[in-house]
Amino acid sequence: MAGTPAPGAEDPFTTEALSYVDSLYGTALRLTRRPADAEDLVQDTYLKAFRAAGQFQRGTNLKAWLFTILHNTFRNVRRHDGRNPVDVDSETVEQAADIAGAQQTPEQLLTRATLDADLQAALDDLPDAFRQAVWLRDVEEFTYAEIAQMIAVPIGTVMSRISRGRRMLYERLSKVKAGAA
Amino acid sequence: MNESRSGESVNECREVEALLGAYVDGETASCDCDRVRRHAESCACCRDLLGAQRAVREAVRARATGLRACASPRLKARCASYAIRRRSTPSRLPRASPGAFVRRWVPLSVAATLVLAVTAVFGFGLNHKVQALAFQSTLDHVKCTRFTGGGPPADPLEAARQWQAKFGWPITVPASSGASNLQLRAVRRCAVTDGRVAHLIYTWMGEPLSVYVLPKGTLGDATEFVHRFRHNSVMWSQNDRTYIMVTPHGRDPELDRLVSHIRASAF
Repeated sequence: MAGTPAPGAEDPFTTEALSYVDSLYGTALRLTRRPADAEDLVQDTYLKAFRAAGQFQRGTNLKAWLFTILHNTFRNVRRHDGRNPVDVDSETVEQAADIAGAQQTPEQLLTRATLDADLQAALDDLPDAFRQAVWLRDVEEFTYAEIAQMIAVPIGTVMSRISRGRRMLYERLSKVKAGAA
Repeated sequence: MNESRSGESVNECREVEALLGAYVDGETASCDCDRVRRHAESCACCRDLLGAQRAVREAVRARATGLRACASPRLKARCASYAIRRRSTPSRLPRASPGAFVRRWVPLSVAATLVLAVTAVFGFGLNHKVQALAFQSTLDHVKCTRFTGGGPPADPLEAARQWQAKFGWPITVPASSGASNLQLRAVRRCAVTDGRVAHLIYTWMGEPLSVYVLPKGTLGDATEFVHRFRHNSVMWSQNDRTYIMVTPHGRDPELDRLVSHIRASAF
């Protein structure tokens, strides 16, 4: 449990929690797509985290705990908006064009020369559920089990969303490359 | 790359594709790695998909720092201020003073209307409750917020802490919202209800907005909207509390957006 230290005392919980503000904001921005909404979401996350600090189990992953609060808060906002925060895992990916037909290997096609802006745009273009899964795995490097808990879906769904999300991302970036060639 | 999949293996390919991400991530607890390996040896399409997984994974990870956004100094300062509040102990909190979060003085007529409101929550059927709460809370809002100056923004954690210390039951005070142009100004109690109704006063787009919190959830999860005396009353129950929001203006979608923020922030 994270206790409440005396004022002025060293507080590792607070120090560590505040060190994730950029990560939380970046993730909030991917979820909400609006800076003002993302700031509200991060602010509410910290408010709730500090209110519930006594419930945090010391020795567990504080970053994952904060991200879980962030996603729960986001789901609550969307639920009351009447919007579903996560697109249904649609069949659109299944219908996407096969990679077959490209003349280069994936590794050759997607080199480090891929522009940051292209990658950013391709990520933003993904359906919410897939962008969220790829982001949490590849940018924030959470485990599949942590992601499943955060976004409240079974681990098999996380697995499938990451695989499909990366494939969609690959197809979008391949198109950008082909267009630039 | 150009090899196409046979009809018989399409289902197998589809199932294996869902495992490819976990395979390249080494998530062996979630993934049947032998099945992926065996299938990839005999299926060129899935080998390519496996390559695509690795390529995307590497590309995104290599750019993770650049993809992350930076929180503004203002947001960082606000989040840090909540941590400072957390470190304060109740005995060290400043006493409430005129203009501080909890104000005691309320006109008698206002207090009387809230007695009716509390009675409505605890005693009436649902339809009557909704109508009575809208009526009384709107009257209270009109009277009470006349005495509210602008003042500096209030701190939601501090206000909630002071409330619980004084009245013995916890409230969650929704925070200000830059996106919704909402500022928390004060948290008061009503004298006659003896701390049974918390009055959260905000400004929303420059106008006073009230949120009343009653210590019982009797309205259900549905959000009730009532338009009375040129004011909107929005009420609902969550977490064993009843919330009544009163605002003189606001139409869809701004009002819906605001209610969403307050509901989520009060969770």
